[in-house]
Amino acid sequence: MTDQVSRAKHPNPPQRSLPYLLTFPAMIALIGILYPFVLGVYYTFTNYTLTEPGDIQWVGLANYVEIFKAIDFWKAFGVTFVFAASAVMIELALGLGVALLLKDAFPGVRILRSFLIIPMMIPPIVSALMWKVILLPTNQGVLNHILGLVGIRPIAWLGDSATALVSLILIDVWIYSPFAVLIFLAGLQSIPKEPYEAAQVDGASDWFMFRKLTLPLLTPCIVLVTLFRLIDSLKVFDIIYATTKGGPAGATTTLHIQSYFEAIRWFRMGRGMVYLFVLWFLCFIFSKALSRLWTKVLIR
Amino acid sequence: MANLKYRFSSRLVVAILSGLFVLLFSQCTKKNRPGSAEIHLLLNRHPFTESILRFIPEYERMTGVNVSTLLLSEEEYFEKLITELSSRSSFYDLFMLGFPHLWQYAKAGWLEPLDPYIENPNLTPENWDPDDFFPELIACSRWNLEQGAGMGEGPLWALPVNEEAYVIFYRKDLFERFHVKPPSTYEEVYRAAKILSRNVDGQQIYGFGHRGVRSWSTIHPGYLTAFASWGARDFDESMHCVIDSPRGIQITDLFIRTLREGGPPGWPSYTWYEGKEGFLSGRFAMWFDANHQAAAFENPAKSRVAGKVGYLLPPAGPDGQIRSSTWVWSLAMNAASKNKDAAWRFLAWATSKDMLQRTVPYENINPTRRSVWEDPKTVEATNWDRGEYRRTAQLLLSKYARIRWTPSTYVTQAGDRWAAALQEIYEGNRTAEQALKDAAEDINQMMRK
Repeated sequence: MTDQVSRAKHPNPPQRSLPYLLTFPAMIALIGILYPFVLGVYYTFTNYTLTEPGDIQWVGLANYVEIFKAIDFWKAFGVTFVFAASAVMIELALGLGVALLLKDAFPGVRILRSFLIIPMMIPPIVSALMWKVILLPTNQGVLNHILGLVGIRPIAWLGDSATALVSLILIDVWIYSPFAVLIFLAGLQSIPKEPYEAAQVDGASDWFMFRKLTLPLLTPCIVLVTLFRLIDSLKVFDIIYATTKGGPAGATTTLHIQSYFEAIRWFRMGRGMVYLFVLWFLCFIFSKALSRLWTKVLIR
Repeated sequence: MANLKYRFSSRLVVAILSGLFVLLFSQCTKKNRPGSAEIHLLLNRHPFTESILRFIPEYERMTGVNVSTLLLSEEEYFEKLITELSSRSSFYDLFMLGFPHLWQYAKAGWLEPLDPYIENPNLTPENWDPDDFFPELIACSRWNLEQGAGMGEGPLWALPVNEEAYVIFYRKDLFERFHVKPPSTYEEVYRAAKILSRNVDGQQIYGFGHRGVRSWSTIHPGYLTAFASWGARDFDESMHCVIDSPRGIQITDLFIRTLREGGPPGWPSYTWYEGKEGFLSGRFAMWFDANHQAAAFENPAKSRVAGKVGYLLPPAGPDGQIRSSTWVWSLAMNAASKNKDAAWRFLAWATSKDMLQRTVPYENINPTRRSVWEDPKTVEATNWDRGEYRRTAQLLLSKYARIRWTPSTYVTQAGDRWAAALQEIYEGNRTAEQALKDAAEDINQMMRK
């Protein structure tokens, strides 16, 4: 009896510590995420050079000032935005279009939907290397070989500053449009049929129903796809690294690629981290804004 | 009952976590166990490494030492290496490098000087013979850590395992067919490239090929050879970047014009891998790169141009001098290694006469030891174009080929920026003068920090 009273007052130790034990891995993971982030931010205020690890000095905002004054930074900033904005817009449009085509049941639709996710099943770096071979500048490239059959001279898809960024955007579209299609398909299939039936009774056109019913009801999906794809496109590295490494003449150098050159190839960790911190800040702003928009849309 | 469940689940969590920690720590201690009979090698994918890997089981049987290797392609290799060394990890005992990395890593204190090991009779076999290495290559591996000077002086930081100098590979059949004289000046290279950029029997041929990606490795082979032969330099005595000198601008303009008017489309996307493939598949009339690629070009199983390749010394500059660039792949020891003696024994074995000789049949040609280069088996294996390959290789090694970069820890940074300038000129965005002046200014600014 005494024992039972004592247990009621003081729950047994394993039971009390269980919540801590269960959250322990999450705490470790949190520290694992925060520690490198804080360290990276700290490095932005130092002259840390990889080859001189014993000589790290505080330089205040000097790295930021120098980088913001450099043309290379603004060029990379522009390329990052053009890449991300173009890729996301095309993926949204293409994703929505294909999802509308595939939403209705017709013979072979299941097979088509299965084929659609193939690009997503290939690691992006492998897809990029595959596209590099397809886009080789001479007739060795598959695309140039095909164009050659109809008398078109070889085009340096990835080797000419006029076409390199466009080619990379198209590679990104090829890899990630299926993601947009899948989300939109799920969204379209969850829209109730009643509003469409009512509109049809009133004699509404397909275009009218698309603008006034489909798009508004699909807005949460559109925001979701934009959120995921925009953040990913701003951070893009693998596709560019595997194909152009930022060339030709800086035409495909994004903030992430420039940070790689600064930190890993030129050992200037302090400067490299500034590029990454700016990139993180952009992603943070956009993700915050889009998350708020998504919540608003859901409430509405 | 609920209490029992809680007790069981909490014990299960504790057991899993403990298991994970034990696993983690056992891996850590395994990594850093000192004096163990195991060495770890970080290697770049290269004919030398691919050939030496064949013989490692034999070494393990002979010595009882376990040798673990990680083989990566060049870009990934150097990223992995810098990550390991900058964190002062002792995991990898030996690794490969070239001279820009040797200068950077030696200055950072990451390389073990090798002279004491060579001089120790308990560690080095009597017949190992350090004097058998070509002296020029040993000189490339010594540096006294002084920025802008001191190559060939100071400690020996690495041992050379493969050497390359730069030649113009050319298609003899195409030159003969279109009555073009093999070029002996850079103006003649330009003219020949333009004439030979044509459709031949339904296949588009490009006159002249060279690496083009935004990397210091683009500067290094043919372009730096032409640049130095023209009398231009990267830095002056006070380590001021002078790539924008009048001579530098002149030869850069000519070189890039040759590529634009007589080269393949998309030159800035070419690494040496793509260029080599282009020449192998018969798409280039000339290819200016490392001479040991001859082993692939002359292999009928791989090449469509086997038996049709000629070897030209790089053209001379206006003063009649040939100043070829060169590259040396070497093996070096991690200063933080916990198994230095075992690592040295492996290094001595891998760079012995016998082993370097045995790597020759696997395309590790251009041996770094004189005895291997002159061995009848090597002579027979490399006697391409009726001995012309060996004649040019010999002349380059003994007379024309030297490291043309000024020793410093800034080669890769400066070279990457320089390569970006070449791409700008090629794209037509800037003139050679504008692009090189801006690049020189950026490099000087980079070095002031």
